[in-house]
Amino acid sequence: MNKKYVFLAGLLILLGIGLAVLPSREYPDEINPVQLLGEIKDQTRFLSTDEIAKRIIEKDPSYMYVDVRDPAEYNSFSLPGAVNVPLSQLLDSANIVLLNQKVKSVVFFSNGDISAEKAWLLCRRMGYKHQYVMQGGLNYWMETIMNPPVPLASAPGQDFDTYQFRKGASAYFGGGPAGTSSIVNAPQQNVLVKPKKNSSPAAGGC
Amino acid sequence: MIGPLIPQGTIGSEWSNVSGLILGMGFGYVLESSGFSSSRKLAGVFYGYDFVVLKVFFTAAITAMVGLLYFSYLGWVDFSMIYINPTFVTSAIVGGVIMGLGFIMGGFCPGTSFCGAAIGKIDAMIFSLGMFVGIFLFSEAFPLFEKIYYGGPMGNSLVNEVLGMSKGVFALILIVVAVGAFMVATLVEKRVKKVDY
Repeated sequence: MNKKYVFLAGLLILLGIGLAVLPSREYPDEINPVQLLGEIKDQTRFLSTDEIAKRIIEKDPSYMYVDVRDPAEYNSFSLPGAVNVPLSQLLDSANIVLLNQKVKSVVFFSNGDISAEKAWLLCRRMGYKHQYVMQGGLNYWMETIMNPPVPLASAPGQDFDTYQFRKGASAYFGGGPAGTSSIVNAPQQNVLVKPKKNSSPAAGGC
Repeated sequence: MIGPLIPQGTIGSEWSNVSGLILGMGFGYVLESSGFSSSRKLAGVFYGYDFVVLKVFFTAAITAMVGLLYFSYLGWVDFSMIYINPTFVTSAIVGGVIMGLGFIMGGFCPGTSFCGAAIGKIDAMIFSLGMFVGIFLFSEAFPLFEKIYYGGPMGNSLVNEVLGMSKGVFALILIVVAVGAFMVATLVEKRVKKVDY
């Protein structure tokens, strides 16, 4: 037999052994940079503070608010019901389960926009869906929701509607005095929860 | 830069026909220059006097396989983006039998018949013509064959996944099988009377 063929066959088998031994390489579902750039230019990831206030008041269960600041800042003040995922621990496996989910949309926020945007960018790059950013962060939240500025007398009626909403929201979130709010809080009804009887008693035997 | 280049958008999809043309010309050139345009070469596999076709195509397959797997390991190719032909078991078996019969009767496969036709071989021209007649008849009578055509769908499955082993292990097994087949083929070639053509 030709020596050349023996060598080549041996080489192929060696390469095959290499393939069998090497661990397989996994590719995460990262999205294409061109697509990512398109999403960065697109502004639809932003949710306004008014929208978020409305959703929190309505107890919309389809949103999860993620505070990407430090735990100390989170403990001093945050949005009601927000989850704390510091930016430095964003890619911990426990947090990824939280961020990459199909049930809830994720809304990032920080003091300003920057940290939240970083978190959003990383998560979008990993291919996670339904990721949003609260526009302006908590600073803007304070400005608009907690201490809403009174619109000028010459402002359009829409501004006054927004102001009325913000004043009500401010009261809801425990901000500045609500003053003469036109929003009347509906009397809270106490819902009686009847404990359900355990229908199937502990089955014994085999 | 990471492959596959066209699905990734590194090269525009409008270039896929151009790259196909260039690769096709290269393929045809190699086929012709290795003597595959002779119908006796292909028929030789069945009669046992010439196994070059088996060796060339099997080597090409395992070389491409090994290259692709190493490229994937090194991060040069994203394996998940490579197009995998969907498998239809029934039509694969029926088509394989028909194609095998056609090989042994005509002495050409579709590619080599065009090669032969290009260098002016009349049998290759007739073979290509027959192929087009077959395509026409099949297309016209497609409703009759539809059940066979879509029979036994398995989706875009890979052999290693069906067998439940890793890509690398399957590659090693295939290489060993290939080398074994080459050795057996060489032994058979030595035993069978040589045919001059």
